[in-house]
Amino acid sequence: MSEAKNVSDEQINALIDNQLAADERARLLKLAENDSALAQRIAARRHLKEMISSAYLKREPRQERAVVAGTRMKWPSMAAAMALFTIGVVSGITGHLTYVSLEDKTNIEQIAMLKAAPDKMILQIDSHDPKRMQSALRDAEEILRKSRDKNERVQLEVIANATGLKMLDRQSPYRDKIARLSSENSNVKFLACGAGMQKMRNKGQPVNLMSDAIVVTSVRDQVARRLNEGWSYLRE
Amino acid sequence: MTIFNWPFGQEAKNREYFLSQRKRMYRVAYSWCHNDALADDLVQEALLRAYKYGQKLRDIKALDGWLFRILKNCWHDELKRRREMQDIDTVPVFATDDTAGEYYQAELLQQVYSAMAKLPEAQREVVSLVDVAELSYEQVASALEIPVGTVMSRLNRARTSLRERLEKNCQETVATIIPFGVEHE
Repeated sequence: MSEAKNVSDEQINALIDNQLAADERARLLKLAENDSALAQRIAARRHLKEMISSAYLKREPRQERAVVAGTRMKWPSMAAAMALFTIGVVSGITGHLTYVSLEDKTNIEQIAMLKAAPDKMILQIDSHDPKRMQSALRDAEEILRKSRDKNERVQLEVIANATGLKMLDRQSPYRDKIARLSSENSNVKFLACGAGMQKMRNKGQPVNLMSDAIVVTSVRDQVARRLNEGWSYLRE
Repeated sequence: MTIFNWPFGQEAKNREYFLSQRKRMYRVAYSWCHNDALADDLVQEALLRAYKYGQKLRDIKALDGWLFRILKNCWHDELKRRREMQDIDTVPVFATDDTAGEYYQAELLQQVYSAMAKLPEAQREVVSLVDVAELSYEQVASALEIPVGTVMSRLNRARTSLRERLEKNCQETVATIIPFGVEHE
């Protein structure tokens, strides 16, 4: 039957993918009833489609189980979860908090359940990209201003590591701004990753910290400690 | 003390919708990269971007195409970074109890993954979005930012290639005689 032979593979695809209008679908099915070759072509395509969809159907994300209140999460998961939580709220306020990079597989569903008040925050900057450093300081300033306006006292730590340490260098163009933020807000601290400073020294690029900066052992230890204490984690 | 409010209204609805799509997105991401960890990362990154930019979207019908467009962009970013696909020969063979299900043996799964991985990137993206994500052609066109006609032609080439490869590699399974009466409504 020539009409059946003229049915293209694209039409068969559209049929098995439910992309045809009802009348066209009915027409093709009627043709297939009377033409075994067309019926087999349709069946073969459908079988292939089912093979592909079935092959991936049971693949599941490697997610952890939902956290029950009071259960301690591994710190990277918690960091990621808190970062995701806070980015949703902080970005709405500051408008320029950028992408949060995750280094751990997080159960993102957990984030929706997190209701912790982010009144304690640690903000990490790990790049000397001027845009990111400026963004970090803008965010810090905005967080402090918002909390001041609402008469709520947020605790904020801005921690620099890797090349982000250059933000805290005495020669940094942001020195004055950091000094002003520190003097006006006793609830903000600027921290430098000690391990990162050592690495910079080893590379022959020592960082001479401004007086407002405090050296901590490492960014990882500090963030882990703060997260265990219930702080929120942000990353510029 | 709370200084920031949890999103509500449309934002909350969108957030809930994004979360509900995680498994679906993962399967599509996996069908593109065939790497568990990378698929996880791609979905995570896509959801982050969706959170950031999609809170105000109101057309729920358009969310699917939009969400998978983000996933595609994340995947393309990753490809740019890597500039090479994982050698499919190194993709591990999955244990039967891992993914096989009652109809598919691990070996057949491996053949499907292998055939998919050997498709040109553009074709694999289309067939994944149609068969794994179950998007309409229009939604696929929106996600990939190509015309519907291109979706149809890529899909056809992809399915033709897949069938040829699978027939060649596992004839006994793919060439199973399908009972007549193909439409069971």
